[in-house]
Parts: sequence; C-alpha cells; structure tokens
Amino acid sequence: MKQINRPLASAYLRFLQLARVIQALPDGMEMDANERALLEAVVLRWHENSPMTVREAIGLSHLGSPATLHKRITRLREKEMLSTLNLEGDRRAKFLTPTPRTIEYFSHLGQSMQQVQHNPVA
Amino acid sequence: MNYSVREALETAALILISALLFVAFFHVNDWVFAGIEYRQGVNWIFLPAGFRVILVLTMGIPAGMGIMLGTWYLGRAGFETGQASLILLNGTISGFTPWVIMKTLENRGKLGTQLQQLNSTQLLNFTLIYAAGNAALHQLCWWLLDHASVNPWVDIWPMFIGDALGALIMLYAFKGLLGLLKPSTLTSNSDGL
Repeated sequence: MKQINRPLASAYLRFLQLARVIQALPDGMEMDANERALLEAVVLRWHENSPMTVREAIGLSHLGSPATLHKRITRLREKEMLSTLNLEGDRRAKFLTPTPRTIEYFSHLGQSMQQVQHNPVA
Repeated sequence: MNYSVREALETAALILISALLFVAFFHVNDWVFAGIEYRQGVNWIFLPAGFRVILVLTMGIPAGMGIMLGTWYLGRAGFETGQASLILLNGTISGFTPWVIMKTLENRGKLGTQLQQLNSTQLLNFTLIYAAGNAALHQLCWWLLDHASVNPWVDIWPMFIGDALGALIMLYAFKGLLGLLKPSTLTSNSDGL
C-alpha cells in the first residue's frame, strides 16, 4: 500500500484513527453478552408491537433465573438502554421499552451490517 | 513550492505545535495540581503525559522532538546552574520514550502504519507501557547523574502513577469532548457498547 509522506496529512489521518479509538474506550456503560441477549428479546417484542412486561422478562427462563434477570433489567435501566412504561388503566403492568440510546445502538448495528454487505472482506 | 521544503515546513509546524501544547499543559498542571506535587517535576497527576501519548501517536517523531524541545525550555534554568547534561537527557527521554514504544509496537504489527490496527485495549496498554518506560528511564537518568538525592525504587512510583493517571484523564477528557462535538456514536465491538 502507498504510504502518505506529507506530515500534516499523515498526522490528520492518524488523529482520525486515534479519535475513533478514544471514542471506543471503555466507560463502564458496556453491555455483556447476557445483557445484550435480554435487551434483544425485549426490543424484539417491542418491535412486534407487543411490549414485554417486567414480569414476562424475568420469566425468560432460558436467559436466567428471575432474580438474575431482575438485576439485569436494573443494570440495563441504569445504562439507559431500557425504560419502563405504565399503561393507563393498568398501573400494575410495567412495560419495558427501548430508549433513544437503544434505538441508536441498533441502528448502528444495522449500519455496520450494511457496510459489511457492501464491502465484504476479500 | 518545492516538495521537500513544504515537507520541512509542515514538520517544523508539527514540532512547534507539540512543544507549545506540552509546555502549556505543563504550566496548567503546575497550577491545578500544585498541592499534590511529589518533588520538583514529579506530580501524582501529570496531565502533559496525556499529550505525550496523543501527540506522539498522531504526529510521530516531530511530536517527540517538540516534547523534547518543550522539556528543554521548561528546564532552561538548569543550563545556567551546571545541570545541562541532566536537562538534555531529561528532554530526550521525555520526548522519545513514547516514540520508541510506539515504533516497537508498530514493528511488531500491533498498531499498523497509520494506526489502523490500534484498538482501545492496545491504546490503554500503550499508555501503561509508556508510563512505566518513562518513569524507569527518568529515574535511571537521575540516579546516574545525581546518586545522592535520588532513590529510584521509591521515586519511580509517583512518576509512574502520575504519568498513567494524567494520560488516562487526558484520554477520557478527549473522549468526553468528542462525545460533545459528535452525538454519541455507539460502537458495537468488544471494546465498547
């Protein structure tokens, strides 16, 4: 590959790379695989126009015990990846809904998939 | 304009920018963290260390030269008090330790020629290796030139912690600044959300 020998151009390109890496530095807001699986299940139901209640979410036995799933929901709420919603007329059922941050996360995943499709690695 | 002249001018500009940023942040650090200075030139939080990382990774050898010149400028009083060799070595270590570490990692294929291979884990590793290397070489230099007043086994720790903390604070401040300028770009790789 041809090297860029101009110092300013090279510095700028390296700066862009470094800025990208710095933006990805861990900040305590990362999701682990279990949290991601729960989030996907919740968002899928929301996408199908039948949002999941907290009770349903903690009953997803293939993802963990109710106590574990409850903690996981709390962590996702703390990370602003899930919010809860009470429907009028039924104050007991608490529905789980994605936040703008969640939507942005999934749209970023979608964009990445599109990029991979358009630029497959040879 | 002749290409090589232009290249030389661009390199000179990068050296000057690096020197100015390093000197400016040295004074800012002196002002903000004066209360936690361990000894002259060693602080428990040393923000210019972050500029060493950012500048050297971005600009390469011109940044090393700029930091070296900036360090010489900061220690210029030593030239008049017979400490010229200490100041000269200090500046050389300050400027070129991060560059040598970067080149070593580049040669091992860890960073790529334009940082293409760099990820956040490697950046954090680089920061820690640089902080350790910088502290060790500075202490070695001071011990070789001034046996009496230096205890490298003790003094190395404040310097290492100061450099590592300072660099991490600067990197995360930069991350925060980028987040403000560009609304949160969420990443989905293993390094972040």
